[in-house]
Amino acid sequence: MKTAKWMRELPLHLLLLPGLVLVLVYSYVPMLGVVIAFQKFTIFSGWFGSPWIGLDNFRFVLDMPNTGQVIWNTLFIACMKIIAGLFVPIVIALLLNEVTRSFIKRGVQTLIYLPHFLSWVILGGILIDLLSPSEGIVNAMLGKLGIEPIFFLADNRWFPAVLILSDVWKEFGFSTIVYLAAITSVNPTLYEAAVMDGAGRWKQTRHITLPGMMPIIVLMVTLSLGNVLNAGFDQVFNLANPLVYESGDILDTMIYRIAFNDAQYGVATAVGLFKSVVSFLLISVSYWLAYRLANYRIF
Amino acid sequence: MKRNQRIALVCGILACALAATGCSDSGKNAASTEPSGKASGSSAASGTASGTASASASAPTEKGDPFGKYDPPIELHVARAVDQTWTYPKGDSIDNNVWYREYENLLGIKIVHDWTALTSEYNRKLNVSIASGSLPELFSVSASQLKQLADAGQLEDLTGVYEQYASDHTKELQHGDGGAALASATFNGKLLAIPVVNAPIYEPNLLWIRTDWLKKLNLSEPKTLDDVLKIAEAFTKQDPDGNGKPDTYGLAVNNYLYGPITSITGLSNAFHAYPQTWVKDASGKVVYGSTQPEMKQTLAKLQEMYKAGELDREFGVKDGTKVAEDIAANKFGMAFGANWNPYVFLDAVKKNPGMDWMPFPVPSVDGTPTKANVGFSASGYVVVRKGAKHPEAAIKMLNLHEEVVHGSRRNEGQFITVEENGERINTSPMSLVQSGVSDQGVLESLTLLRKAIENEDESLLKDALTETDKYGPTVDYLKTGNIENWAVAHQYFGFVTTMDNYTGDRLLMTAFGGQTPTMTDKWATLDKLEKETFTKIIMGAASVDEFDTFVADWNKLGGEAILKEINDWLSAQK
Repeated sequence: MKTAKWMRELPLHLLLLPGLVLVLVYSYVPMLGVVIAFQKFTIFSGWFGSPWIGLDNFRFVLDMPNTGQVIWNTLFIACMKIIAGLFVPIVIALLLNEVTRSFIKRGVQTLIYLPHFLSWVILGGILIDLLSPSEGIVNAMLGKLGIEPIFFLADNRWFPAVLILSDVWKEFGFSTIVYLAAITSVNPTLYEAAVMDGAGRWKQTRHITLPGMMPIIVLMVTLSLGNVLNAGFDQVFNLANPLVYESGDILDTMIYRIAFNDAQYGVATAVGLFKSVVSFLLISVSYWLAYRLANYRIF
Repeated sequence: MKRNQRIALVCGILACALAATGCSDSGKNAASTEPSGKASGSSAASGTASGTASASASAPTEKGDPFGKYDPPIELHVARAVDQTWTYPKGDSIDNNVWYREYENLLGIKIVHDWTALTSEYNRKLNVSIASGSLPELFSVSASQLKQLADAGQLEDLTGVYEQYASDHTKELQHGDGGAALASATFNGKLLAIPVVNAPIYEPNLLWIRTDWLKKLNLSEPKTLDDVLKIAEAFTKQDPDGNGKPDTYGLAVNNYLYGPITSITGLSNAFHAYPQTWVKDASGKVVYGSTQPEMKQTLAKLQEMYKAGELDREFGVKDGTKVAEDIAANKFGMAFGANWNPYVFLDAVKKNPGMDWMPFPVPSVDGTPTKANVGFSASGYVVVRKGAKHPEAAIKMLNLHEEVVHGSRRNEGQFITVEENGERINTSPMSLVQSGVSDQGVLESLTLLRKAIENEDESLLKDALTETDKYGPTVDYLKTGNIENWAVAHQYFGFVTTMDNYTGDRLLMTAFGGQTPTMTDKWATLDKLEKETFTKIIMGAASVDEFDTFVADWNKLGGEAILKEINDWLSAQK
């Protein structure tokens, strides 16, 4: 009996095999490359020929003048993106939920979803034009309100805000759809009961819709913790300029410069490894939290 | 003792004889059977030098045939960068074009592409190729890649084959810069690469001014730096485009700050500052141009101009492409840039009838003539992988290039620009081993060009090595004002300005064109620091005195070490 079951399930397990092989080849084997973080790596000598230098690459990075600033920028930009990227879609989802005409609802959904499909290369050019202090539409509107034009992309006080807001603008449509889906899964009888008890729209939202969405919200927050060191390479790379290195340079752009401008692969890998280790810890914590708070488990 | 010597002698002769017979057996064509390795090369030579055993060390190498054909043909595996903008005559492609056919027909070299990559991707792909240990036999590299490959012992020593196979014409052209380019490709006495010799004389930042605006505002052409600054002010304040709005700027600058277009280098030169250049100071030591006190004065002036609205308030976020758009939108009246800037302006000129730009020399702050800082005379290198079977093929291909582009076989309509259906297709980029004309050659050619245009006599051009294609369009433009030839004619005006102003010691070539270990480590940081500080100073976000902090930081963060390495390297070369 037992053997029979095992035999029955074997083909199903075999279906896993191609996926496993792909993950092994493309995700695990390349991980061996992290050893060059501990080597004075020259591409000609390769892994086996390059001398071991312990933690020197890490020390080199810590000795670089801007490392502290870069780590801070990364954390700050990423955290703010997570927070803003959480609240905006929830609010939009709740508001859209109140819209009864389905064609308006769908139209809005589609429109806010659109920027998700544009690359940062294109959006970068658009933002430079939109935010220009002399001709940009944003400053033109601020001007109507009597506000002096602001040079958003060249001002260290504003640049992080631009990064965060433009990221939210690009991505909130996507998350909104997730939350809308969560709202539809709330049991409609609860609303009927609430109406019987005399609850208005606001009370319904507060006491039924929001608690109903809670597991998904907690899940989204905890999962995004793993991204805390990803402040968004594409975006920063396309928008940054010498004036805002101070507030806009992040770990990923620093790694890019070291690896591709200076061909110092050992150092770049060291920074990357550092980033990965911290990210790994954060992901572990977030999965643990997701399990505790939202009863979410991968396996 | 004597006996031993005699045995050694006999052995030596035998070895040489063996090597010599081995060589002559290995191929049918005598010219193509020149030994490729260092050891066999010298032993074959010593075979002719009556067998003195000691001759193997420094025997003069035999002269090879610069155009000897391989029979049977050989295959040469190459990697190369290609550009999206290249067009090919009908039926041709990157794999089959006029150059590759000539390599095969004349030299018996069949080109096989291991891989090709877009110019922007080439370096990255080459690094991957180097990392994976599968180098092609022949490829081009940058100065820093050359140094890396040389240090790693990956490159074939070309000293012998260069001496043997390079034609006299090739050698003359390659030495036209005083030998600086070849020296930069030589490591420990070994020539490890063929330098792409270029003429830095093409690079000086000229002052380009919109002469239609000058006329409109009744201004005369600038003679002094004060004139230039007054023009910048007038272009900003006096509404030269006549649209009633204060939307014009005196000077165009892009956020990269330096370079061949919309750069601050020209203005720096006016203050005798030479940014991003290794210059020799009074004591003969190499220092970095961007950290010298003259640079501080330049930045102070730029800050002043920025405050006065003479620079685009937003230049800090605009790259060259975006600035070019603004030029087309009638916003700028002045820009520093190289002689070929008219090609950048052409779009704007076509869109705005009446717009005209003319080049002027940069006047200096104190009346002593300005110098223009220019780059190194080697703009790139072609290398041969160690162990490649036919390193001399590279030299032969170079000979071919020099002969058909700058020599007796010069045939413009075939190898440089092919005319097809009235379209001019540039085929010269297909040449795998290139080298340009050095300053001396360019100057001679330009002088001939000038004479030919002034006398309208094309026959005066027959000895010119280069730039002959500027004759027709320029003469046509001067006669008819045909807008299609506007850019070529204006480049010629740029040449004239250069010839009259930037020759001899007024051309300041960088003292060092390579890469040092500390540069590899720190340059990204230092370059970032420089651009960041300078941009901030110009935009008034930092005071001019921030420059002193920058110099101190620059030295501390690796600049001092780099200068020491460069000075040591240069003194070791003497």
